[in-house]
Amino acid sequence: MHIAWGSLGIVFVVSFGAAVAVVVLVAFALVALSARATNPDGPPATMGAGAGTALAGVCLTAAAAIVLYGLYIIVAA
Amino acid sequence: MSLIVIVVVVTALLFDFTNGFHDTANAMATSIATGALRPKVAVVLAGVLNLVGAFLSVAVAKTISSGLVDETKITPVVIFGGLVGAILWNLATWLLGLPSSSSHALFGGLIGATLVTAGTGAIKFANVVSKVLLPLVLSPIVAGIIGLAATYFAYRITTRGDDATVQRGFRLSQIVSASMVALAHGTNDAQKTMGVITLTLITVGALPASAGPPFWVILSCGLAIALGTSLGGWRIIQTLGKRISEIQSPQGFAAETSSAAVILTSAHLGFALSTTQVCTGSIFGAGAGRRLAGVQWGIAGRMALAWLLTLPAAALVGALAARVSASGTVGTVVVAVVGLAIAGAIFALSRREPVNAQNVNDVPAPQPVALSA
Repeated sequence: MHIAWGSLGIVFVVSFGAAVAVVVLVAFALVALSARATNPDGPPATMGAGAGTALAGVCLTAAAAIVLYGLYIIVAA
Repeated sequence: MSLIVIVVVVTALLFDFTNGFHDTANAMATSIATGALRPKVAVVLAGVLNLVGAFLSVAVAKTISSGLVDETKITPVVIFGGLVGAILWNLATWLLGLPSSSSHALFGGLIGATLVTAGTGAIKFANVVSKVLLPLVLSPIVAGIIGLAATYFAYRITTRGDDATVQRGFRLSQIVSASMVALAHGTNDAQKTMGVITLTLITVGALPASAGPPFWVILSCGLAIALGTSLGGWRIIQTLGKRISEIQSPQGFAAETSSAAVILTSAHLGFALSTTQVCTGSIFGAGAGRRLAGVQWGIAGRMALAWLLTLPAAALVGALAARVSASGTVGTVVVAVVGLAIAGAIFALSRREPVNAQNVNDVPAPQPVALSA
């Protein structure tokens, strides 16, 4: 019996990279949003409102790019 | 068109329907459990995305059995028997609230039906190992590791964040990740039934060889799977969302993102993994990523048993159904009537302890297993 360990390895590495990248980017975006301290009960502000929003925007855009690529894969199939 | 062809088309659409409500949980279980989407909204969204998905891709699989059986030996009777086996197994596992692969049920049914009509020579046993058994073992492991890592990072990074912002952010993100899983599911699974119907029409000469699915086939398959999905297999949603682990929104997002990533890459890089097993693995991984002891591993054992039994059980029913319906029109009618009666009995049993949109999340929090030392 032949098992394509090579393609399984690629599937694992690519999915691992994509999934972890999206989750990490969203997590960083949420930390950046938290750091603006718009919530009075939250921790004190460690970042200006503008900087926090900008950082979150960059992270979410990058995550969205990966998601859009996934969508492209579905549609182009 | 002969009776058997009409019966096969109707049965295939019924299978598509059970496929839909069996797999709603794959995309939506954790979103419903974390409250990212209200139960009814979640299943309708999944249904719509399955319908959209059915129209997105035209690359219909030209093989319905993925090379598990000699396709030249497949007749409408074999397909009918296979579908009956697959439908009854899907209904039985739904009653027990266990996620199981609809593809494996279909393969099992076809293998059983081919065995009795064409003999063991028509079965490619080596392919059964590489296309069913191996993905069954590897899918949950691959997805579980990725879900675990993604969950670990999600919690690790956001410990510095404001709790309310983080929970809300992940809940909103879950809507996107769940939608991706539902869309990917629609493109894959609705096509499976389209392939079954198209090949049936080709075998009886109603369509030229190598024809694509006619529009009415695409539309009816899309509608059948969407309808099934939007009714919601609440029993399986409850198992995946609430009984494996107490899933929070970061875990739900990590699990769904992992599932979507694994399904899309495996479909495109040529190592087909099983959707149901991927999604289940991701949820176990996400549960373990927060707290290892918070996962109900006993449930994993029951699921593994159901996964192993899926192919042989569907094969047994498929063989019986094909044997009887091969005897002629009367046999086909007998199989249809008995099949409907069993389906009705399973449905009646489910009414004893109904699980629906209202009570799907009403599960007492799983008691963590006491750890000694």
